[in-house]
Amino acid sequence: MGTVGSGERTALERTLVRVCTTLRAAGVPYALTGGSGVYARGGPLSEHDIDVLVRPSDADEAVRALVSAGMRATDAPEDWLRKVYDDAVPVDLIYRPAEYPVTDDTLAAAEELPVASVQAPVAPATDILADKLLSLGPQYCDFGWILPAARALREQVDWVVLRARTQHHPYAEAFLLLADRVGISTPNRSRGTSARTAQVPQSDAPQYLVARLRRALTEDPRTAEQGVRVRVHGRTVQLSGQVATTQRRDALTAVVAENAPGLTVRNDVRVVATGQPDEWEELR
Amino acid sequence: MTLRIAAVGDVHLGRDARGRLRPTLENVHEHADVLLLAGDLTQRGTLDEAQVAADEFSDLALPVYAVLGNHDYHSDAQDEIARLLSDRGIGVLEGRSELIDVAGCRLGIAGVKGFGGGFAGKCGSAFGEREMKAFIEHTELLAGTLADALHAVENADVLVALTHYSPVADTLRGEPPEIYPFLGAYQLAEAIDGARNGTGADLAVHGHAHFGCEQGCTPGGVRVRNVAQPVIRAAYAVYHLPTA
Ligand SMILES: [Fe+2]
Ligand SMILES: [Fe+2]
Repeated sequence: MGTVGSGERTALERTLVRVCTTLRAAGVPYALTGGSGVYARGGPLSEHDIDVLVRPSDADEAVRALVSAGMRATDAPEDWLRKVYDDAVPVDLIYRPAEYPVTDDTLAAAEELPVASVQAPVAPATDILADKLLSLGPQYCDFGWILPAARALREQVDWVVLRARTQHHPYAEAFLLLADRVGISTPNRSRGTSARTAQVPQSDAPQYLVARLRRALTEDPRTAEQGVRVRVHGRTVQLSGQVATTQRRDALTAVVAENAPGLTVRNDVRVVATGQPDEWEELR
Repeated sequence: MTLRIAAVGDVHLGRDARGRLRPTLENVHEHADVLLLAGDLTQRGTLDEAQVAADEFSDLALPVYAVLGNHDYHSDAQDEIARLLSDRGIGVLEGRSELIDVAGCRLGIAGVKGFGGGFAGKCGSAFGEREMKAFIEHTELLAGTLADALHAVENADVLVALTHYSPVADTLRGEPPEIYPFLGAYQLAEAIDGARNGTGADLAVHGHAHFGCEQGCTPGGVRVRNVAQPVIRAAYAVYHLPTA
């Protein structure tokens, strides 16, 4: 897959603008991802379709809106997207990109950016690459498009989060090895949490993410919590344990979200019980 | 006759937690004869947080004794915090003991924050780098202070050791084993077992291990109780000890 020619570029841009204005007018929340997301973020226009994220509950409405704007619906065999055509240009309405469905949170993370002649919400660079890497498999293992996209978006990608999200996925791991070797992925130096510690270059391997978050929760004066457990499952950070107040439980979410942008925080921490004890212990 | 000891650690108070414990504490004297606080009274070790702790625990209708925890040292204000608590009538046992008459018996309480270092066969040694020696020497200094403080009141009818860090690994079950050396040190248990010429104290109370469990025992057979609030899940725990 090379970069598209100028005739095709015109057709893709025209479809992109029609999709964006139609969904906006129909009030369907969406975000550009895939090739059009990369293009909106300053990368090459190198795929031959338009990828759009919508919530599962909005997929039918999105298809209806695009069809009334003159596009043609088709039956896609995949159970994670709906497909329409604008003349010859395919438009993928994706509602379950990797293993998780699109939610309000997914779309809220999008950023309004100018693309072609319109403004459109565009998924974060880290999300775009994560979804793309997680879609790799034995039937589709083409790095030809992802490599220039990753190179163009390298400064916008949080590589720590990307690695944490795609861990245990061998195709993503292979791509990330390649990105490391050819110098695309940059070591991600997070802001130091303590002014007194000397700055040690921070590794972006996934197993360090848990360590980084635990230290942040302890050393950030907003939390100062040692008694919180941190686990990373795919794109979710799970917190558990007990703290003294609800304010402190909520501060945990804020500090983790800042240190792991793009990951979902599941805060299962409870506020410690302080009732009267129901019994005493006899020590004989 | 029975002596009733109420104890809690790791309340981690701050301005956002003002009044959280007070309603339950108001009648603690109906359930206990003395209240022990096992450190981490504050979250960040600041004086305004210590003020909240003082307001929660002072002017109760029973004697209150405390040790400080690592959180209370975080802002380098531990001395001011100890003074503030003492001024409000809370006995701070930073390496010292008190002998008091309660429930018709003489109760001796010896307290120290303690420190890490680890347990039997899995512990640090005062060897090598200056930082490593300083770590273990701090542990040994505080354990020695606890031994002296216990010795000073060993003619008590009931003898209790109060620390923040754990003297045993038993009460850490639930915590990752890799961090045990940061949660306590066997030297504290040695001091507790060595009290009264090796007969041992009657009870050891500590906190710090939020994911640990309540019950343990020293090698010498002294009962150990982890009263960290997330472990006991109540305003305080109560232990009844025979006094005769
Ligand atoms: Fe604590
Ligand atoms: Fe502690």
